[in-house]
Amino acid sequence: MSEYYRHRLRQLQKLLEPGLRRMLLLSFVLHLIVPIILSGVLKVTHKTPKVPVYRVNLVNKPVKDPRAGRPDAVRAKKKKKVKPKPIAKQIPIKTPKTVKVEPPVKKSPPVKKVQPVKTAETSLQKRLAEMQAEMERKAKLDKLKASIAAQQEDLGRPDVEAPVGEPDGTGEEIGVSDIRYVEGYITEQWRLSPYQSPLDLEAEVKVYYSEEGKRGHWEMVKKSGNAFFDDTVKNAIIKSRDLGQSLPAAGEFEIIFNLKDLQNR
Amino acid sequence: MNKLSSFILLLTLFLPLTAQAVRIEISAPGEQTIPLALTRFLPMSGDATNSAAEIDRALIADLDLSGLFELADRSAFLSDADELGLHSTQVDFGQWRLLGVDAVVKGGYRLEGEKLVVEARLYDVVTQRLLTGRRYVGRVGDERRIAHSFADQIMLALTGKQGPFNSRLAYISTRSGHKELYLMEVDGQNPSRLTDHRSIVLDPDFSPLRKEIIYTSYKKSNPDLYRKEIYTGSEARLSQRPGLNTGGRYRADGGELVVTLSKGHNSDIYLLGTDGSIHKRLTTHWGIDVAPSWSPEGDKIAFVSDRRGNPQIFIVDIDSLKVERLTFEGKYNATPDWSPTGEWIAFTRRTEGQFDIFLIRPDGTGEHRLTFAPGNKEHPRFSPDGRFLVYSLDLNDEKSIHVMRADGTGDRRISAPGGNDTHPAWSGHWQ
Repeated sequence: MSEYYRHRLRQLQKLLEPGLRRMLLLSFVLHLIVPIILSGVLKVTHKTPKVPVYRVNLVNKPVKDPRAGRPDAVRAKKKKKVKPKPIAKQIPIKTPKTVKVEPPVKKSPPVKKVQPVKTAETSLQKRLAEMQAEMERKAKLDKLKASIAAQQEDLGRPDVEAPVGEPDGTGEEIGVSDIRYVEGYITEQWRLSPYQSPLDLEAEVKVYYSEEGKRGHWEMVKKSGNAFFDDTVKNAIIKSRDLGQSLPAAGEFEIIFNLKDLQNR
Repeated sequence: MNKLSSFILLLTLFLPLTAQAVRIEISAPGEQTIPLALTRFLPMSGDATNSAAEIDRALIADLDLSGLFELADRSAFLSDADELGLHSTQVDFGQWRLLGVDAVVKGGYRLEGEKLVVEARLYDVVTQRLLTGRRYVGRVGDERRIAHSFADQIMLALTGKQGPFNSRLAYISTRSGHKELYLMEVDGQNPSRLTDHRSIVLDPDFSPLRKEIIYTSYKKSNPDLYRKEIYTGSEARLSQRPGLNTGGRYRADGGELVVTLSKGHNSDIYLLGTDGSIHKRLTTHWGIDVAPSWSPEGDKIAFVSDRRGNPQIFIVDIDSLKVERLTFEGKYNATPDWSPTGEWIAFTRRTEGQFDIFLIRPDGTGEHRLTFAPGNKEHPRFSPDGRFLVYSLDLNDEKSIHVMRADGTGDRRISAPGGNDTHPAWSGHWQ
């Protein structure tokens, strides 16, 4: 019997094509892989949990208006700063015992009534002291104002060089958007006089930036048709070889250069 | 089989990771001027002379007027500013990049007896290439002309259109006690008197082909049209018909001219040949038609007429003689000048008791005011490239010549104080 079955098996093996076994095995593997991919099991392994990190480059390039774009958080803090003072005054009132102590204080007026009898000079001295204090306070305020104005002037200059960045993020995590940073940086490098070319031109450039903010390959995808306009665009990209800060991830940017803002003026 | 399956696995893993490119639109440049370093021209041999200072002054004035550039502060220049650098390999572009400039002008000069040789270069700092370079050979005293020429070349290299700096301005001045014809450079330097009619000279215009000016003069009591060759000084009457012979303007090809003739009656617009013969009468109306100006194609004429009651700008088609009204606003619109690009017509309008300069498109759209300062601004004329306008300003009993960009910016007085200067006209390129 065993010889008979062996013989039948050999016959069957002869009938089957030599590559069929491989094909069957491959199709089996593929059928296994597809559901695994669709189920997302593999994706999970490659998903690195991204911690939302937002950078504000305040060290080298001060932001013109650091509070821009986050009105809620800042305003809330401002209000809190004003409030504490009256609260501090209320603290003694909270304790009822101190209120009870007040009557003996009220007794003091008769004591005061005794003092004015002494001389009118003391009241004059008090007034003078008050006036002096007021003068000193005003002088201090003027000094403070002057120093603030000087600081603002100092800050005013680097503002021009600071890259334009729009605040981005959620909640308390507000920082300069990386895309806006790239946009601002390249805009800064783009120099073109409106007297240099017509205002209805547009060019498009594809540029790759590494995670370190270094420019990789780039190409002009669409030319404007005006060589001088295109040259200024190329120069802007050449000058943007290093963004000066890292990016959350390497990526490609499609940058469209046009003069729409100048047309509208 | 193992290889194949691993390949498929890798492919399926990478597909979701390929991110789309981020799209960014930049709709205005960060700076609307080109940062340019203009170095002093250095002597190529021998000692330094005044030539460098002359070239320097003229170049700075021209480049500043252009509005294209932001000139870098010379006190910040590094050692490369003291190098001749007539070849791109001799220029230390790193130093200029440090200063944040995009372009650098370098040059040198050499005196060979009375002959002056000037070498000038414009480099692109970013791409480290030569944008334009010229060698000029002239005489001592030609420094300003050479500088104006190179300023035009710089404009050509960076915009594709030559600048108007190597040209001349004709104007009428009373410096001699009479209204005479004068000529000066675009920045107001080297004024020279061309006529000695001791009468009234008006309304000059340059021939586009020759160094020749036409103008109206009362030398023979009647306002006749004259022609004068600038270098030879020879003068002839081109039209001496009774009445007005004024407002002569050459067509862009120099083949014909348009003029206002009254022939003892009502003034109308006529086409004249260069010999003074009448080719065609363009207007026939009881109203006063004056101040004609050619379109760059030479097929239309803009002029002023009071046929609707007040002076307004009209356009007449030379072939069909069809007249269309261009301006409808204001009660007094005068002295139109068609831009060489054909895009705009400049004119003056009286608003709130004073004349100001306006622009309007030939189809009547886009009308806007260019000047707002006090004083009467009159006789606007475009530069040969259409980028600038010259006009006369009447302020505080003094009339002076001013130049500004065609968008109304960069206004500056160019005529010297102490004379009543009016009726400016801009020549073509002065070869």
